[in-house]
Amino acid sequence: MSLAAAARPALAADPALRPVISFHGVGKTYPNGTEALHDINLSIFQQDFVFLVGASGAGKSSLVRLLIREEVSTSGRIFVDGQELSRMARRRLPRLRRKFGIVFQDYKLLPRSTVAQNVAFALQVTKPGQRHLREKVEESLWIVGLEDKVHKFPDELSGGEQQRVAIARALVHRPPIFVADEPTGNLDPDTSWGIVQLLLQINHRGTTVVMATHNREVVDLVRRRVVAIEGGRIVRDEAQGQYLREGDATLVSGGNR
Amino acid sequence: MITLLATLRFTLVSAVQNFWRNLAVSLAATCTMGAILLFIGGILLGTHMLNQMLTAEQAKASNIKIYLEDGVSLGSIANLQSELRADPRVSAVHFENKDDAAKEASSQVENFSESLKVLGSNPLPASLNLDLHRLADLPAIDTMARRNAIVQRGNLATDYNPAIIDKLQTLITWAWRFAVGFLIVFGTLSVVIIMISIRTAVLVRRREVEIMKLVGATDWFVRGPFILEGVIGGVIAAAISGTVIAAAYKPAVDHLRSTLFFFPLSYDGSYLAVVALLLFAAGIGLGAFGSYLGVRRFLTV
Ligand SMILES: Nc1ncnc2c1ncn2[C@@H]1O[C@H](COP(=O)(O)OP(=O)(O)O)[C@@H](O)[C@H]1O
Ligand SMILES: [Mg+2]
Repeated sequence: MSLAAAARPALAADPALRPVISFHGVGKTYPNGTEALHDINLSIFQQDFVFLVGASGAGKSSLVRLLIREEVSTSGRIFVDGQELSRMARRRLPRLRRKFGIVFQDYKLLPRSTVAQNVAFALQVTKPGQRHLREKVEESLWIVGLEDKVHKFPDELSGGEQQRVAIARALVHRPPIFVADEPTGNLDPDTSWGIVQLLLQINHRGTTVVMATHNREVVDLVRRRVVAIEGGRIVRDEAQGQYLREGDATLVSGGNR
Repeated sequence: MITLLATLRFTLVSAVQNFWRNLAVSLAATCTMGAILLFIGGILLGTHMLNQMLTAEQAKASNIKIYLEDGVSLGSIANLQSELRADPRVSAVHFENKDDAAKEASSQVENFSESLKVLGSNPLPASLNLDLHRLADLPAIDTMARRNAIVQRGNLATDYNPAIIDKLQTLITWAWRFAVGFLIVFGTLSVVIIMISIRTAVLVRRREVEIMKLVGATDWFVRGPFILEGVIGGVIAAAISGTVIAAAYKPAVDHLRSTLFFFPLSYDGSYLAVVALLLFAAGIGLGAFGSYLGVRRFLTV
């Protein structure tokens, strides 16, 4: 049992609340022989906010790729929402992906589409003919604070704004789990801080958030669960300081920027 | 319903965009396929013409015309006629006089009656036209007829021409072999070319594809536009080659009819329609198959 679960005994004891995400003895060795992950055990509960930290090359991205099943583990078992990933049929992959909102260090925006078109694209290709598309896109852009940049193109935006567009796109189909791999990797500290606050807000709305980062500063500023990875192993899994009261998502050191 | 329409719309718009965004490659693939379909259509029509000739020759084959010398007595003709009628191999004998022959010729050959007027006299011989029960008896009847004194000498004795049927048959066999070989080689070629153009399209759209997979679009949603792009290319290629073939068929028939006037060629509109349909089917089929393979090969969904 992870420390995070132990930190919330009332919730962990409730059998109805099994982890949204769990890794059981998971290993990943790439075809070239690199062992990126070794015996990973991890449970993440609904509405958790988890930082995956570790130096570059530690295995954070590998873990994220296993989680969203961009890669398949070479040993152990991974469950998402009760479903085992390594045995999942390929045709179920789209349904799994729709449970995630995913952002990366590079924003992966369509350069020839406007901000609104970029966000709408996610719905158009998963739920064609979706009603109230425009309202959903606008709402998503409002959450990330870009409601006035709707008709801009990505190259007219700053890096932080582009990452916000990517976040809005990841949110637009209201996923229960939000996964970010180095979302602040290309951003200056101030902008990074804004992105992290945004993720905390998203978490406060009820979404489970997993954020991989090698940026210790950001992690230190927020009292959330930290899973530290080194050389493909989890070396630490603990709440930073202590958990805030349930539902209280304000930052402990929010003013300290 | 709305979902279906939206899916179709997305697929169509993306497919057309794909086509435009790498226009050079798309056009190259379409043109190559158009040329291939053109050859296929040409071969189909060509063998059809050969078949028309063969059918006519075979119909002619079981009957034979025995040409008679001018000025022989009606009595000797009647003798020969009854002798042939008695022959068990012969099913019917019919006498055609010089005037009948001229009439038949003018119905088959343009300007024949004008030529007759210029000549002043009718050069065509009278004949006994026989129908045989079996094709195989033709040579024997031919030999027998040639021995009779009232029958013309040499090459003009009968219209029996064993070589031509064999030649046509061989020609048709070879035309079909050629067509099948051509189909296999160039069908494969066009599939490969379409695969290459789909590969380019996937490359151009790799960002879109990546995002679609990330947000959970289904395989077919991702693949659809690329496959449709191949189908669009195939349809355009079929339209181009079909138009060319339809436009060229009539002049070709007319030309062949004037140079090979002894063959009964005709313009067969319904066969042309069949060929056009086949071309569209082949265009769509090759387009879909080629792009499906391309998507399988180059688009890891
Ligand atoms: N596709 C791959 N093939 C082979 N080795 C890989 C691949 N992806 C990552 N690795 C290796 O796995 C280890 C962990 O990489 P990664 O998960 O990207 O770490 P991080 O995201 O923490 O920087 C590294 O040694 C890296 O070189
Ligand atoms: Mg990484």
